[in-house]
Amino acid sequence: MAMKLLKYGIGIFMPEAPEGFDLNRFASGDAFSYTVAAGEDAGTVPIDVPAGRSSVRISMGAGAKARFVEISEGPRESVVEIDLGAAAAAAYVSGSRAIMRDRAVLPANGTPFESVHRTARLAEGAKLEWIDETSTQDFARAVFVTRLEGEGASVEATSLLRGGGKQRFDVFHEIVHAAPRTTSNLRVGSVLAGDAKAIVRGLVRVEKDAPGCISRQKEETLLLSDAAEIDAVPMLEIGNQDVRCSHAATVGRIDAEKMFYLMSRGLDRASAESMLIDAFMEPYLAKLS
Amino acid sequence: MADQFRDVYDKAAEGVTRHAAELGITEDVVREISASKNEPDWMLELRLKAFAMFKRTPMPSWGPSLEGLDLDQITYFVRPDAEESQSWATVPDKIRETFEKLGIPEAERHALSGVGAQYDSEMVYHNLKKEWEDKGVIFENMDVAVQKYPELVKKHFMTDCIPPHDHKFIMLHAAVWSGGTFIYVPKGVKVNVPLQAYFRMNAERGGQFEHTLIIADEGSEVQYIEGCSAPRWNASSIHAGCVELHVLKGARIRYSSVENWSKNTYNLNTKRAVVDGDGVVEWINGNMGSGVTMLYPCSILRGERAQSHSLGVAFAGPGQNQDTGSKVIHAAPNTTSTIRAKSISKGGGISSYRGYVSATHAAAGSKSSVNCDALLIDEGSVSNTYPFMKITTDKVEVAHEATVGKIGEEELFYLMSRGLSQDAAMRMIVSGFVEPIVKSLPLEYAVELNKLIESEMEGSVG
Repeated sequence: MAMKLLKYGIGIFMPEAPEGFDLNRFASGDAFSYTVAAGEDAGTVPIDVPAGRSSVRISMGAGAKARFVEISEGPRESVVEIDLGAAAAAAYVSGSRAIMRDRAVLPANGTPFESVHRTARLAEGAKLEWIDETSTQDFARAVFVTRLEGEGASVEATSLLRGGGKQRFDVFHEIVHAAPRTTSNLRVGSVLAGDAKAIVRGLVRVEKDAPGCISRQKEETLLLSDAAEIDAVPMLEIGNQDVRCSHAATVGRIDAEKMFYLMSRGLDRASAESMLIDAFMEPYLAKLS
Repeated sequence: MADQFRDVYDKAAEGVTRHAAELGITEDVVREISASKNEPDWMLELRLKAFAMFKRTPMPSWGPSLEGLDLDQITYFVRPDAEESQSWATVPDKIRETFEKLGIPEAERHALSGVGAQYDSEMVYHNLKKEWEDKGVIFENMDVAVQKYPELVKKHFMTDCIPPHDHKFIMLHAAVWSGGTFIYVPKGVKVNVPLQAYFRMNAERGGQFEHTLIIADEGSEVQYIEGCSAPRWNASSIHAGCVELHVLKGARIRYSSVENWSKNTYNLNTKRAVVDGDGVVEWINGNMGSGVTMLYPCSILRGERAQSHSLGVAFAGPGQNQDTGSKVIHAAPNTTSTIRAKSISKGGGISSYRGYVSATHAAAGSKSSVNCDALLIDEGSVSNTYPFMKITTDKVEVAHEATVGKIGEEELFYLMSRGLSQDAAMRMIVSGFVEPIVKSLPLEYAVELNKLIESEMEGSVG
């Protein structure tokens, strides 16, 4: 593993848990640490997270750039901590290999349990993108906490949930605007068929001393069976008057008019349906690849 | 009314109490209330059962803090020194004066079918115009209705709409409820002029627990308006009312209320409607007063094509925490709900929208749309939005939208360039913001609400 990381020139394999890491609270196991020096562009950095417990710590200096791609081999219990210096730009992409290969599959069954906990702190002008896809687990929990601590920091988070079997998803995105003129854009899409159930919570908090913030939050859900279930909870806590915040949530099934249109062009029901599901997922999948 | 005006214009009347129960709540107090009303056994049993549940139920662990509310420092039953009357002339002067200041007798002459007025724990005035009485409409004091219409009341009182075990403060309400309104509209009767009740809490450390039960029989229609106020005291008081609406097949109820309790009132109110096939319920709620409000009117759409429409506006000024929202449970096919909520926070006030929309398997073809807008007037004010959507079927469409922001600089500039002062421009924008709600209120209430908002907005610049 160490060799593999060194090959990309930016990672240092650390067998010890990073400093300040609460082993009692979070997953331990394999620990990975990545440091990108100020001003450096690390390009795409693959992170092969093994099945089981692991932790990833990323620290980026001022103006550093990188795109981290995490591909899990099996069910994870992982913790990711990201620290972005001034004007640093990072993307953290995670998804299952199967889904990246075959876009159209709605997984019916998966691995037993997965839990990820990801936190990030952004200094002034830093930019972070969370891109996340969850589908291959029977029970998946994902918690994202992003703190925008420096003026002008921004985060863009997209999560896609897909389940066609008995999956249970619990996703919680918390974004804290702790500095002036920070921006956030959160988008969670869920495609639920079979007996899949999901709870999606989003919380955007604008603190008292953070004027000029802009925040958007969107939770969209496509339900494909009568047994599928979504609990959508988009929350806002606004403590400063000088904001522009909005959130929207929609839940529905495949649009009958669009189906009619496609079928009137000669597509059978199944392919029309799968085309519309693809269209729903496209904005998310486009970010993943 | 802003509390500084309340000190001047809204003084508590003196010497109007005949009897007040001792402070705090015990089984004796519950028995005393029931005995003084000569209630049937089933009602006493309901009260005692609810009281037992209340004692062992903890305070809610969510929402605004209720720390300042000392339930042992409340007088749960305050009987005014007056018999219920059908003529304002026989209502004692001091009590009548209060209602005259509030404009109730005046409004009755011009715009209403019937009026009830409650002072502390009991109704002091109740009157229904004869034409409606002749059509079989019942508009009664709730206490009287228990005696006069035992069957109707027993069937609907805290049964399938709001059961007494629903939550801690409904248990308290069930144990000590007193006064309120009972309305029954017979099949097919359309009461086209609103009925009104006004609730006034006068006593210090008082508690008001009025119970409103409205039954709109098949194909009938009724509009009901409720106003609430209390003078300002130094000690906290509690209002834990209960409103139950039964909308039978094809019936329609429009329920409007403007609640303007004084700012040390804890307004922990419960309102719910059960709606049968093709029935429609409309909720219009204005929340101005109270220190803490927790109020989430709920509609259970249990008949096919039932509808619920709700409009709400909340105003949170200094020291106020307005925690309001709407709930809808879609439990039948092709049901529809719309929720429109607006809030204004000013001077450090906190307003929260806490809503719930659920659609079960039984709700195929249902639609729900929720829209929340919040306006933050100044620094330090807070706006929260906590919507919860629980959708367990693919055969529905649900949408939720919310926006939070301040008054736009451009809008302000536009109005000020037309010669308005900044203060006037801000007031105009706020009036425009709440207009969709004000518009759906009857005229006198629209005027009252506008005045309230204007007085709350007074001096918001600088």
